[in-house]
Amino acid sequence: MFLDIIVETEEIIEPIINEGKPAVMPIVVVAVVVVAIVIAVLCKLVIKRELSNAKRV
Amino acid sequence: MRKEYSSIELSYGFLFLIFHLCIEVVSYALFYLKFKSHMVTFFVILYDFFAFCPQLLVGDFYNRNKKTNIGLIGAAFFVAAILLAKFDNFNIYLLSVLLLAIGNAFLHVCGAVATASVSQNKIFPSSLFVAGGTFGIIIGRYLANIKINTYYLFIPILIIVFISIFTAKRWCKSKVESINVDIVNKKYSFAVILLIAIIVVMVRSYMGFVIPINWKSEFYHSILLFTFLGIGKAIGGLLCDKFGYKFVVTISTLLCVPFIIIGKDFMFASLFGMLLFSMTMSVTYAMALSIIKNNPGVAFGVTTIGLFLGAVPVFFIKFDALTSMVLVVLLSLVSYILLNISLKN
Repeated sequence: MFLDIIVETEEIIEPIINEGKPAVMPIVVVAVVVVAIVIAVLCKLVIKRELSNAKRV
Repeated sequence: MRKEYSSIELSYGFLFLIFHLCIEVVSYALFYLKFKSHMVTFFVILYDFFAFCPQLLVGDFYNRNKKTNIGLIGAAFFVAAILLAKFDNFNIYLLSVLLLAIGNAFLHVCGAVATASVSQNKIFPSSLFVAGGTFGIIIGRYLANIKINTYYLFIPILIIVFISIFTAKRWCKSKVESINVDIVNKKYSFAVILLIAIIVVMVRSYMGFVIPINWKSEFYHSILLFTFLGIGKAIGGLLCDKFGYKFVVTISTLLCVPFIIIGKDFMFASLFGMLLFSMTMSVTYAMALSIIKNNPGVAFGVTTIGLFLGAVPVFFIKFDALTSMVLVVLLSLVSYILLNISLKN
């Protein structure tokens, strides 16, 4: 599933590298970053809990 | 080592191969049909993050609400994403991409728990499920290239809905029998083993981007490449069940290297190298399952976090062919060593 961008490597990587900063609205970036941080923190908590459950078993 | 597969294991494996194929057909066709090329970095990273990272949380959600059909939730997100993609507005397009990614996360976890629920101590049904995505990606890209009407994407969604409902009796209930694999070396703490699984997935994800391929100039080359990647993922699970995980680690991480190096200019060597290269997926998933027992959704989600983390550097750093080759060799060796110390004999 995830090796898809092998196909697009040449088409995508070049523009990405030459692209510079995308013109995204700051509020959108802030909102996305906040949600991403929340997801990352929740993921860490779930992994921590699963590891503690695994030790008990 | 078990060598026989029951009809339910095989039928679920192949049903969810089609299920995964349909997920990627919808995702890739819609994403590239409506793609805003001037913001490629932003959208690809955004999509990858929201498709890969929340899978762990969706797995946890399923574990608390096992009677909830998460396949239908994922399909509903897809329908909303298709309807919103009709609007030519930046903010609505952004919302459509987010819904598509989150729907993707729900559906992947659905496939992971459904195949794990029938598999007992075998990984092949799960590897069949994962392999399906590779075929879906290339079909989705093709449909985007020919600019298919987005309403046709409701056909794969209907197949997803049908499979979700048809199989729900088995996995969508309060008590689900889960896959029972135990392949990790108990000498190391579970945290270390899980970290190694994530690092190996990161390495595989990153290598997927840096492997130099000069021969791929026609669309049918991409079809061949993706077909071999998919076959490699499926065969990896089969070989793990038949010959053991360490055998697969050795042929996947070491034997693939010469073929990948020779295959820079020679298609068939490259295809065989990529087939071997993609086999470790079953190993890392089984490592996560060995630690996070009875929660295959979370175990699957752990590995997909590695996929996202491994893909991120590719958007910002690019190496020449020689450096890429050296990286492929070094990273393969690192994967081999890490997997060897973390798997039991």
